[in-house]
Amino acid sequence: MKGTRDNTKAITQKGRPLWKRMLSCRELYLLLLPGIIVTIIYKYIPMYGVQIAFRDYNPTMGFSGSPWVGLKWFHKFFTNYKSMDMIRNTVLLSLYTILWTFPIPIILSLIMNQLRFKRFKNVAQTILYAPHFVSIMIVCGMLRIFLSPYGGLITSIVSALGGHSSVGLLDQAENFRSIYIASAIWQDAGWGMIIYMATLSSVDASLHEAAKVDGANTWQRIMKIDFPALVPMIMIQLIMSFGSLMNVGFEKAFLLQTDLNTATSEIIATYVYEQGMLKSMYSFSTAVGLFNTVVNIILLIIVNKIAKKTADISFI
Amino acid sequence: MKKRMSKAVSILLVATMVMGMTACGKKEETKVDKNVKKFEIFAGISALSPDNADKPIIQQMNKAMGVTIDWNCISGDTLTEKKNLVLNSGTDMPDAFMGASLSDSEIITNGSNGVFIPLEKYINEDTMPNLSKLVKERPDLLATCTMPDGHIYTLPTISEMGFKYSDGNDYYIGAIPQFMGINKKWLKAVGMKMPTTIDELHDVLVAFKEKDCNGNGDPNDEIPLSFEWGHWCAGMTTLFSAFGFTDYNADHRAIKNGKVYFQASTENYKKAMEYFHQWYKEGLIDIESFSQDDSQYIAKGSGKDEKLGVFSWWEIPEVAGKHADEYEYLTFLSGKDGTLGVNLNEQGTTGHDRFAVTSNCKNPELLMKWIDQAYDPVLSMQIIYGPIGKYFESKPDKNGVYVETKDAGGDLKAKTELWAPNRQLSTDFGKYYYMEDRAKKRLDDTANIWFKNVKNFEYYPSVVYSLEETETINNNISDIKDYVSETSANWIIKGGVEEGWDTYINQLNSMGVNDVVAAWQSAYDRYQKETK
Repeated sequence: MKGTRDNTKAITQKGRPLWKRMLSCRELYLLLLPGIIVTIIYKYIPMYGVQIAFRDYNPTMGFSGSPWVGLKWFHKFFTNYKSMDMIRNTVLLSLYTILWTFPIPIILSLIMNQLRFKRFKNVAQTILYAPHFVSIMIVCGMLRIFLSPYGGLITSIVSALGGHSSVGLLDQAENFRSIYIASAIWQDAGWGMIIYMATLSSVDASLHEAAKVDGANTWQRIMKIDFPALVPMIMIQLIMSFGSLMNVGFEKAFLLQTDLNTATSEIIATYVYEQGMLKSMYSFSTAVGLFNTVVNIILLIIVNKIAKKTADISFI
Repeated sequence: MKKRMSKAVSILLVATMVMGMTACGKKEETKVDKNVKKFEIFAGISALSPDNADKPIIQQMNKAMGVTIDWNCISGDTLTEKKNLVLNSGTDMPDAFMGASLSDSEIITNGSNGVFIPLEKYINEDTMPNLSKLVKERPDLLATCTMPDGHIYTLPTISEMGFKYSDGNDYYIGAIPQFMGINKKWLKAVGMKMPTTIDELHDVLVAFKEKDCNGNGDPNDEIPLSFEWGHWCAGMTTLFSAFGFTDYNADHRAIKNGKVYFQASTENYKKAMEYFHQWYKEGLIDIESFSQDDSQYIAKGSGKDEKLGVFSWWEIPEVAGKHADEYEYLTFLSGKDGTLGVNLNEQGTTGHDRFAVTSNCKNPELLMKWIDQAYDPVLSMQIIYGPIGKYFESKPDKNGVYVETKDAGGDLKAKTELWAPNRQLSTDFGKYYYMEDRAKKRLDDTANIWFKNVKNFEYYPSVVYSLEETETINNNISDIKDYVSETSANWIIKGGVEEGWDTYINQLNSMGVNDVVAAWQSAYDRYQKETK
């Protein structure tokens, strides 16, 4: 209890110097410490390597000893014939992913919340969660088998329904985003709904009872009671998902990439991997990665501003 | 408070930066210590092979020199990735790289950085007697592994498996890497004769597609033509002969009358793209040709019912498996007005990507003595194929020549071979060991069957590039190759060559294809002057 008492004291005593206020709730800072240390070690210390984006990196001379080349790598990236396509692919893939995958957990949780038959609810929840625990490697392997032009499950269904194609479904660039997003929904929608379910369970039951007495039907109760309760959580989730907008899952895009669908599947992350890991152009791939991050930060700030204006929720 | 907070944050940032910088301190100069007998080697190995430490040949080499070696063996797709990480992280540097397929640009960059040390001072009678003997027999050998800065960073490998053709010149076993095979049983089933022109082949493929050629009751499981797009031996460019060229070189490099040019931007290339799009539209080309890998491809060829009408590979048996007897070579076809042109694959007998020593090595002299054993002819034989007692009979025959055991062939080589420098001179066959039957057959077939239609024997030689040329080529070629491969695949599948051609040529120009061709040309001109 001591911590709580000190804490309130710190808030009320505004005039005192910072360190004194920090000292008075030292237990809380102690709890925070491991998190800060981990962040510094894994997020801040590696950041100093970012300078090789402006240098011609040479391992014997080290990060700070390599010759300075300024914006050479950025210039190389923007004059590359693929760069505009890659930026467009990255933005579109993530925008579409958010657009399609974001509302589904919300809808699912609202539906699940209405289920009254306990055992059915549990079974349904488990079935919805399960795909989340399948490794992305395995999911992509399954997709490749299902979409194989010879006897693949999905290919067979498509051709039974009258669709005919002379190219494998995964090899068609125009299908890539749909495959990517549909499988993302299948895999993560169930998992994503947990957080909404938790929020809904904290909604006061008396509100629902009162609404029932007033003659509100299920639809009205969902729209007037459940949904408003979810709005703050939805906004936070939205900001968080925009935070990783440009970091669309590299593994999945890479694993689903074939030579023929690169027109839509080549995103910045896969390009960075190719240039850095396979062609050992570390400076160049760092520059591209840095550009990606900068765009991401700008987007995050914009979304945060919008959220602050509309729902008064903000992270920064 | 906000101000104070941001001050605290900036102090934190500066502190972490300073910490990071000191973490990357200066590297100590490696001192030579003749007592060091333990080495660490980063090695590439074949996917089927066990760790190098478990190979009898390595144990024998270690024992002879009294050294112990810590192996870091990597196989398969991760080799490039791991090699790049080790080379570029600056930490955990091994004493040497073996079988790690180092590219010329890696050798030059790491050589000039000081990561790899120059080896020429160790190539002498005392330290490397076997290699010195080899150099006496092939005086040009060291020139092929000397980098533009005048140093030798990697040891040479020589493999003279080839044949003397009737024109008096020697040709290498890979002169025509893609042999096409056609199912003669199917030809009989559809009542057609062996095609000699590309249009005749077209009609045969249409018949293959429509009829139940393999007689299993399903007329739809026959694949008329299958290949792996852009693959060195499973590609389809043998069929391009009907348009006056073949495009075996991965960089699309070609030469005619001493003039180097880019094959994938010629009018003939355009015609070929247009023509094969028609085949694709008619369903004659396997739709997996642009995405399948070797194992899928071989599975199709060697499965229960034969599925392939025409395919391409290094040889027929490896893909066709138990159906091999039903296939026959489909040699170069001619096009309209009898056009038939072949560009031979570039001939090379030497390589230099197998062994490099790093500045981390404390006793390079002993390490060089150790690896010199690999140039002993009998040890070389065991490095290339496998150990005596397993791949070769324990005792040589009455002529003193080692004979393969019954188990040899198949995938045994991939399990027992060692990726290390070695020698295989044309005179070694019949003196230390016999040439394998498969290789002999391939050489005979190349000379007697495939070379019959070859009129132009000119090829781009193994030149040595200057630093500047290397840089020009390396900066541009990989993007160019990717672009050509993607665009061409799309043309064959979706068409649109006519509309897209000008954009394609402009794009290639803006990617620096002319600079690359100029670099190839100047290296070639210099080579011609030096050899004359």
